[in-house]
Amino acid sequence: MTKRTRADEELDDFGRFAEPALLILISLADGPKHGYAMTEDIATVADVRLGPGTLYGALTRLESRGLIERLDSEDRRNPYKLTALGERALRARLASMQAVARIGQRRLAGA
Amino acid sequence: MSASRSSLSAALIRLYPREWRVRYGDEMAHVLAEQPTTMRLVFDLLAGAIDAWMYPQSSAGAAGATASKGETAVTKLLTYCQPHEITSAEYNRSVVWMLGTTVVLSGIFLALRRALGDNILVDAFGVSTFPVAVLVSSWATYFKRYSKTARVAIIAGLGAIVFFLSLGAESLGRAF
Repeated sequence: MTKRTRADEELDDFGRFAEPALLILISLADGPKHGYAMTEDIATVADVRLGPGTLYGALTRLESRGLIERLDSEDRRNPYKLTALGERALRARLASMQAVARIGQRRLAGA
Repeated sequence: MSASRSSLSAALIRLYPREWRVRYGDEMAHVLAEQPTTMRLVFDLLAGAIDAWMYPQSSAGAAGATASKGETAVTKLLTYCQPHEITSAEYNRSVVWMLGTTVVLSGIFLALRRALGDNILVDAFGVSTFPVAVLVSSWATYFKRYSKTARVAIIAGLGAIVFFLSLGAESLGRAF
């Protein structure tokens, strides 16, 4: 069994917003983006188009838990950036997913 | 964006709580302006609005400190009614209580039915078993914020209402 870290648990309790939240963190990993840019990036990277209701449901949760931060902007398109806590949570979650994927692939190879 | 699309977007955003709109409304309007209005998008926004009302503390985001200024009676009520800090163990216990109470009440119903035969009061009791079991199972979850006395009063009161509604329905069913 893979051991989960405290940083990994930051993304727990997101319910149906768990996957969108993870995709948002991945999208913000290479720099700040505003809502529409995130939607487009996620559609390109993961072939998933998040609706605005889902996008902002996940954004509000990530922001309230301090995993992302809203940056000021002169126009109405406020960009968001990953916080240090968000980066740690993303690294931990990706590492845990990678470990699980490795186990799955090893088992399939042995089947 | 056409005027009709713009007004539809504005109407959908208005479904969100006020403090949510103050913080995210403009941003979301921009995101909406960049994509076609489809049924999927409308449903997504409706689900998002329900979520924002049900979980206002997460909707307020980092603006939580100022949220109380824009708090409406409805958001206060919803915040008050939603279950806080219910652990998995409490949920599991409530399921056990619900099943246990259903079994016990159903047993009592069957015993009464056998003893008293066709009786409108017994039938109303039978109909009430599951709703009452749900009420009892909320002891340690939805009602846990209340004192023991208040919880007994709430469960007994709501249970009595359920019973009398069942009795009314049984009476109507027998009359027609």
